[in-house]
Amino acid sequence: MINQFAVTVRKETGFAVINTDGYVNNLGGEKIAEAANSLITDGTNKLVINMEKSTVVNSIGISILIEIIERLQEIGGKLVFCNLTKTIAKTFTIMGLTQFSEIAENEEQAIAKL
Amino acid sequence: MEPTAPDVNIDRLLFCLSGLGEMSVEMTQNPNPKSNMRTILRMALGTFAISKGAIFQFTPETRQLTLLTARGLDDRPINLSLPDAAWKFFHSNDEPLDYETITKAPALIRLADANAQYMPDLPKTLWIPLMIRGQFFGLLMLSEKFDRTPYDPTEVELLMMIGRQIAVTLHNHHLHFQLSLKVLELEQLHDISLAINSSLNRNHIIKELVNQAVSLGNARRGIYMAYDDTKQEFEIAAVCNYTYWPIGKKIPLEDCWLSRVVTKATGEVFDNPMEIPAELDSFNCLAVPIVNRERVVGVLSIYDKEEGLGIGQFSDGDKQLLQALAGQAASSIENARLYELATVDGLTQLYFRRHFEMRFAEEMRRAKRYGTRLSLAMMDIDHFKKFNDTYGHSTGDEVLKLVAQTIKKSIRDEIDIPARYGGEEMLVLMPETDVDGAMKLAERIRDAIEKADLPGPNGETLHVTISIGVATMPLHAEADQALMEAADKALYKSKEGGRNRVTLAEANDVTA
Repeated sequence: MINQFAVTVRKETGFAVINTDGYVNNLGGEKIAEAANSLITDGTNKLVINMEKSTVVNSIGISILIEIIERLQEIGGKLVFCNLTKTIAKTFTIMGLTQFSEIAENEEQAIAKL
Repeated sequence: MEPTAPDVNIDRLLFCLSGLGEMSVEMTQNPNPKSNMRTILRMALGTFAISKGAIFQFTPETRQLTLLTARGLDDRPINLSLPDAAWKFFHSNDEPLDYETITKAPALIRLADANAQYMPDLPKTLWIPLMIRGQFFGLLMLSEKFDRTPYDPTEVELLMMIGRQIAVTLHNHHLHFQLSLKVLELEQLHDISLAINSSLNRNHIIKELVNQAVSLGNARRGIYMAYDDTKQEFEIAAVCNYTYWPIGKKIPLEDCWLSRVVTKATGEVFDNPMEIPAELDSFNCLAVPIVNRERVVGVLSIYDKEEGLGIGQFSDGDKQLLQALAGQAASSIENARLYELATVDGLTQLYFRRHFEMRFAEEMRRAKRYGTRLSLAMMDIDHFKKFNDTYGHSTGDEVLKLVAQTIKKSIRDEIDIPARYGGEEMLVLMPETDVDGAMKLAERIRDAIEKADLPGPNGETLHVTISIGVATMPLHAEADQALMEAADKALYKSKEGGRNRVTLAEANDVTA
């Protein structure tokens, strides 16, 4: 597994989109958390995480995504994931992440769900 | 199509299994205990989608649970003290603890009461004791799951497995740490042994031994006492960080706090400050005997174990280490004693003529090879025969000792070579020393002896003087015998010139 991970952030009015690229493990998860926390601190509480370029999420990745969801819950925010592979979508569902966040087919639909 | 319930369970179990696999890799590959525990906790929380968790490690010495890592708690150090009831509870229970037990078991209520400032924040849905073979290593504390569903029995069973793995990992880190310390100690011991074994000077060995014992044992001070079996008496031979303690002080065995080290011939820890003399100003002591051929020849003792900013306790490990050091030192001290017997005159503690001549030849070769100067001072006590006849041989011996001690105090330790050459004739060989340096040293010795008081047999104060001749290679001679003759001639001139003086050989004294 190539140990490289990239995050790009696009801020829009009232929400932001985080694009991930790579394996969501310890390193990748930390980068997503860093980007999300910085947006939340700046007052953005509606987030889309576009995982089109991430095909694997491990247990630490799940743990970190749960942290982000909980932090948004505390401030009445919302998180929508989009462009998930079938495996990741299934994992999020069985692990219960979808009870407090949503999954959308693509970015447009995700933004519509915010 | 939505997955059916059994499919969800299987998928979830599969995800758990992959999480467990990741954890086992992390546990075996990460050597850093702090980041290791942090990663494992996160993996465990992610594997079971749990919001908050914490890993506490149990420290038996302080009976505390120390927070190693947490998720979802404020980032602050937490130490939970374990009351007796809670300590017994954890040592006799390896079952998972649910919310009911955590909040209602009497022993755990005691734990909560004793640590009231921390308890509200701690996760309390499920506690997994970290145990190996009945030994308690800590606690894995977990909150409810993210989706608020209760833990099912399979998940609890898997978390118990993780708990055992965490305990094994903590235990391994502890063993690894202990092993690293041991390796460090053994490396030090090896270095010290080399340093001690490379010397044949007993005083140097003993001084080095005390200093190294203090450093190796992490102590503040140390003393080496030689023990005389026939007189049943100790003599202080070297000290470390005791400025007021007199070298040479003698203490009878029965009056010494270390007597049981000699009688038992084993290492002893003295924990009670009342057992240690008040003037040593120490709380505890570790002492080991120096044993040679089944006889105690000395006792090495170190005082006040350093621990953080205070005083700790000497452990069995410290005792073993010091005993190992004492074992190494015993043969070095004995070798040095035998070497001294073979090379040093018992009365004056100066080298014998035979040993001096060997060293002289070596230094002459060295000086020629490197083109350096080599000086020789030959000295003779003025009117020694008359002195002996007037005051007796024992006073004569005292004069010899006084002159020898004065010479030893004046010369450079481990560089200049002093010797008793004949009855009252003494020599000092000075490597890498020119005429000026040699004349200064000779004059210093002459002056010190002239000024020294010597108690006479009838209570009177006696004085002696010496005459000295100095010669330097290559100015006065280029071979050892010739240099000796040049110094001898210069000494003769001092005698002829009225004694109590230093004379430098003349260039025309050169005979070789």
